[in-house]
Amino acid sequence: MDLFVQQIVMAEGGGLSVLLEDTPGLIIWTWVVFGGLIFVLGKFAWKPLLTALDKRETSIRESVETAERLQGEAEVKMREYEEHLSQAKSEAHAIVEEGRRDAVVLRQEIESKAQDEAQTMIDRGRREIDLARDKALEQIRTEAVDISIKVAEKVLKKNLSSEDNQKLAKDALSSLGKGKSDA
Amino acid sequence: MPRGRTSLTGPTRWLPSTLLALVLALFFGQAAMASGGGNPLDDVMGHVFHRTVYVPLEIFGVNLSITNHLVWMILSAILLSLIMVLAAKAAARQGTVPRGLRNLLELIIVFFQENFILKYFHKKEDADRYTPYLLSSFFFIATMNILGMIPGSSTPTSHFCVTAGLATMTLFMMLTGGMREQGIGGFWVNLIPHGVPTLLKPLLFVIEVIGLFAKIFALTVRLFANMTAGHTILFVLVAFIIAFKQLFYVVIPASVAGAVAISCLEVFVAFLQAYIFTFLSAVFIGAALHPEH
Repeated sequence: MDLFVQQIVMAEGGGLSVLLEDTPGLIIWTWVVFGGLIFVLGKFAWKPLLTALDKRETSIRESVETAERLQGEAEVKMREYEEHLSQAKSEAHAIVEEGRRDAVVLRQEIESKAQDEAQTMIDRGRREIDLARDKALEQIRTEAVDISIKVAEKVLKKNLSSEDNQKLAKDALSSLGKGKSDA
Repeated sequence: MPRGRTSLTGPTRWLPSTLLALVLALFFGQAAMASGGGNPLDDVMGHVFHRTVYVPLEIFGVNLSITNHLVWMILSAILLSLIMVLAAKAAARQGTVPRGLRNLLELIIVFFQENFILKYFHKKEDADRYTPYLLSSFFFIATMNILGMIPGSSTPTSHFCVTAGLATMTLFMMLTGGMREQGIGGFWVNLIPHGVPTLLKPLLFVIEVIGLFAKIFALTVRLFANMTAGHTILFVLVAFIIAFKQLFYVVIPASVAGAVAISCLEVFVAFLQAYIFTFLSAVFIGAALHPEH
């Protein structure tokens, strides 16, 4: 064994048993030193540091809560606006639809009215034509009676009472007209 | 049982390496004995467990000497207080929006709160009450572990008195918290699980009280053993260079590479063990406040 190692070992000396001499003094010293350290650190280090941490935690939580609340509110608003928008859209659509329907109804009304009017006019025209024709025919008949009487007067050269003649001719004509209208 | 719950983390990870270190130490010690040393294990571990008394002090028969472990513990506490108080001051100046290292600090705090403090303390007010204690214990242990990595320094957490002092603080929190929550008698009555035959209750009470102290003992030994193991391995690796002087050029690269690797691992372990201690403290205190959860 080297002398140097022996020298170290001798100088340090003792072994585990040497530490027993510190019992219980060093335990008491440890309590004193550690107790003092806990007091100093607790008062001047941990308290401010932990308070700062707590404060930051609170402020972060509050910020997040505020942000979440605002976001929630914004979402509600957004939904409201979307609802309003879609409502407005459907309303506009309904209005346009109604207008279109009204227009169709109106057109149909106008068309049918025009048709009715046209029909009425046609009917009236036809009636007038009929009336005018009847009148014309009546005139023609009257004229024809007069002319036939004059012709008969001239042909017979005999002046019958005009009343008789007229009666005869009328009868003849009415039977003629009847026969014609019957036919 | 408390052992079953606690053995999930530290010991399973570190038991193999600790055993290896002990085997190597024995092997190395045999060489020392062959050359005329004393107790081989004591000699090798002497470096790891070295103790220097700066100011001898005895009050009422209690040895309150100022030793290397105590000095480094106080240095850690002062350094940590300075850093944290300055960080808090800077944070107050910065206002609400964090910048720079404050982000890292807040990340650690929030990680603790979210991952286990709020989980094991069922009420927010309980969590808030114990958060300062748990944060202090994590940063204090981590600082002591890290400062112990500096060559020439001492690691207070590799002294079982220091870890016992820390663990009994957790026990104190468990007892005071439990008694405040359930009443002084109620806490001890609630230690016994519900639905147990009356005859068995005294026996179970004794077992549960032992379990209470077993938890604290486990906390003590876990931190102490882990910090000791890493330093032991480092010492053994470096001591190989002297022990195998004939193979100097072969041993040096291997030893140094090994020591560097173990040192890197130790930095990680320094934080891991601080985390485990704090995590288990939270679990124990939370369970003491609300039994049967």
